[in-house]
Amino acid sequence: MTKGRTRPTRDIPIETLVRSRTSSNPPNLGAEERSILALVDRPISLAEIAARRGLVLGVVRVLVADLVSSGMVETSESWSRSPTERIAAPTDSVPTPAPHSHRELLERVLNGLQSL
Amino acid sequence: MASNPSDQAVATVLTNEPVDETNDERTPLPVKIVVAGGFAVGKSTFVKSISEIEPLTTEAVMTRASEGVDDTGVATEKKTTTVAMDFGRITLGDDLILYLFGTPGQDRFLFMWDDLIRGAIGAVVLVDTGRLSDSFLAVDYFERRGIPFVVAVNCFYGNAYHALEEVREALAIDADVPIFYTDARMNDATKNTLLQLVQHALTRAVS
Repeated sequence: MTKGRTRPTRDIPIETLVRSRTSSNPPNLGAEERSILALVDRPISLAEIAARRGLVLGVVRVLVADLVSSGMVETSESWSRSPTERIAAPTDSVPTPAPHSHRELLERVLNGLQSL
Repeated sequence: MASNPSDQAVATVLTNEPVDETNDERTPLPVKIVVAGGFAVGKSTFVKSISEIEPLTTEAVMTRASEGVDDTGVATEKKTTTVAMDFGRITLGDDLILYLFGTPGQDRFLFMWDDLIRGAIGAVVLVDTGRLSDSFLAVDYFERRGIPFVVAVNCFYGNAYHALEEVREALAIDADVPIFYTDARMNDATKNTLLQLVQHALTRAVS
């Protein structure tokens, strides 16, 4: 299913949203990849794909990474790649975002929760 | 592994449609909050009380191989152990989706938290005052890593067996970490808990 690989070609955080970039299923896709493609017409997180397809997270990471590489799906930006990750994983090489973006995002989350 | 028949039917319909116009829209940004605490402290209840979807469970295989460590020395049973994480979703607008992830409860799964907490806004540590020591690990974990967190003392039926300052002292919680009562079953209380966490994270981000 994952062709013996245990590490994804891209490190995709668990909350990353995955979305289809194609309206057709190429014939050479495996059953698991097709089942993922069928879920991502609307953005859906890596965790949800795993849960809804009964696949462990690591397998979904690998399959989604493959689908990204072949241009069939796109992944959302993720906060995991930016501000707090710099604290948790200082070796990360992602460019440092402007300091204000962190606060702006927190304020958006705060406003969103207050509006619930 | 098998897809159910209704899913396959949906897939067939979708493949016959032209590319959805909404695909041109920006994909929302996902953010996450981690809900931690001891085993059976109410994490799943907490997530369920505010999630817009019925909480789902995702599983990760418990093996160090996924972290790049040679697993030849790992016992066979460990390779096949899976760790379950409950999670829920809250849409906060067209462009923002908040996920709540419950940590695997047992201490031996602590290494899983590193992956889960990466990029999180912060964490809610749920405390059961009947089993204070169960939450010490979570408090210690987030304090050591400088991750914003709040301590929410879960009061089922309005019963608290300890005053908040007693809990703070018992768990050695820093003075600047908010601690308050919550009720994991109640949407309002859960929402307030998340608000307090985001406000706390914001305060720390400003200072």
